[in-house]
Amino acid sequence: MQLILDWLKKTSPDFVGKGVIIGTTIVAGFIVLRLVMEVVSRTFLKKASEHNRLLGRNIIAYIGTTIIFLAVLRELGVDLTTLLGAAGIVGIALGFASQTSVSNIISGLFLLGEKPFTVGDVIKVGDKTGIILAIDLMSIKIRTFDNLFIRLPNEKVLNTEVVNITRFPIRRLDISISVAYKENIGRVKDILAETALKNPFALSEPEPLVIIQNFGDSGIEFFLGVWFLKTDLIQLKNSLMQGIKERFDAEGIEMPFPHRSLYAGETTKAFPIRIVSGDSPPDFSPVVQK
Amino acid sequence: MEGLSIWSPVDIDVGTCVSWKIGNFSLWTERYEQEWHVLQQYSDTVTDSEPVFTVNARSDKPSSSNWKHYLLREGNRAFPVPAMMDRPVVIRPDRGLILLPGEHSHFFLSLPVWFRLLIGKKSDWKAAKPLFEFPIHPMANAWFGDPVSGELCYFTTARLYPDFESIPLSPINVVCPLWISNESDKELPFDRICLHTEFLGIYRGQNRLWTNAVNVTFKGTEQDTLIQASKKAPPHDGAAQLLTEARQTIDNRYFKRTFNLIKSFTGF
Repeated sequence: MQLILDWLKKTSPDFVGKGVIIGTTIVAGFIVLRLVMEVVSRTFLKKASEHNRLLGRNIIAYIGTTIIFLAVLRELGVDLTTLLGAAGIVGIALGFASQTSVSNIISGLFLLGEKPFTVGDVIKVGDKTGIILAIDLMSIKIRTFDNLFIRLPNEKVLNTEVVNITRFPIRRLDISISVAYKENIGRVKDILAETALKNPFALSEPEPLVIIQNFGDSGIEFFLGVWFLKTDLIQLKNSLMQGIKERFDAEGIEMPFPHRSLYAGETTKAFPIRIVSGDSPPDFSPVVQK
Repeated sequence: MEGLSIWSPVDIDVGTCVSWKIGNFSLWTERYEQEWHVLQQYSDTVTDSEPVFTVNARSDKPSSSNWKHYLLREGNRAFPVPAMMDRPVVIRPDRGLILLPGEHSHFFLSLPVWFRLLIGKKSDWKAAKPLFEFPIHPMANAWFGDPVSGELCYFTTARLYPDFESIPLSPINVVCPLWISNESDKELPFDRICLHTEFLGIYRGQNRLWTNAVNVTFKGTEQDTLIQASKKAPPHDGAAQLLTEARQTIDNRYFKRTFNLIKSFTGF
């Protein structure tokens, strides 16, 4: 500490005076910077989105802090011309070293221009889903639904498929349902549509979509698409699935599990099956046909 | 309680528990010193019986965790008033109608109202404070317009009556006189009408509740529809007393999308 003080006294005879000036520069600089940020936020950025407001404040903060830093260096007697000259050389070296960071910043600018999402949107990037907390120059920050904080570099976000789940006010819940081949197709269609329309979280318009999708291995597959407000996903999914099951049970409609019919060949008879009841283990010994 | 008398003010003393039963909707209200406790219930059984107002013993009140407690210092007079729903309503007419170019038509619609309770000290209900409002018949939600820029509405099916005398009398339904003009050069098949009920007030007639008349002018698929809501009481049934003001005031002319000409806009 003494060594530093001696060096400072040697470098600058008016050490106390400079110290006061530097201190004043830092304090006044940050007060002015804070003031500028507030004024800009309340005037130019008043009608901007949360995303742009955050970015604007960050840019002002970075520029302002750099100016204060340079002012302090000048007070300390550092020659800024030399420093800037050196900065050019250092810049080249740093440029090579910080390709990823620069790439993230440029990606951030692209994201800013494209505006695929804003703060508060729910997005899915790869296998990560969460609410956007901040969109910065280098990365976006999201909070997952199990309350984990994830930082996603802008470059990755720009190069990956991003799904904005809450961009539009309404969404469609798609459900696949399989019923046994013996059931009446028309009746099943009516029941699915009625169940969807009776659900308080489903929208009556656009009408629920019921499509016979496929003749599957185990049953006839139906597609049910139900529109809902984007905030009602969980309530709708739980109540609708429960409603369908209960209604099918009440109407005696079978929802088949996957099963296979085995044939040993065209000329053979069907396999004989013996039903084993009780607690005794099944008898796997071969059955002789008479 | 017969006819529109369900909408008459009642005095509720401290410690009194009252209830309104209208169809499958029940509303329980209990007054405390500086609190009003409220519970609304909907039963599964649909009844068409007359609305009933009763003063109940405290022991009769249903036990439920859904009671809401409102803090209000003064006022012992309750003013139950009908209110229009808080969002627009998409109406699917009971039959498909096509209005030819240059034609106009006049209909009457019957729509369910909400139950709003105001609390005040005197007979002057205009000075009373609104305590709460509930739909008497919960309605399904619907989205009107395209999935990106449409709006959330309620949904109902309704009959378009050519004259209001055919509409069954009901104290919990409001009759809306509707004029539709087709000033475009194309047919107007209206299988969905979006009625912006937030601009409608409720008037008390001799036997029915009424909204102010609405004039809807269709000018073509590319243009929004011109809506004009009359600022006067409708000239029917002696409807003169304004019971409830519109939620939003409307200028004389208002443009909004009103008809949905495409049945299925969402595709697959």
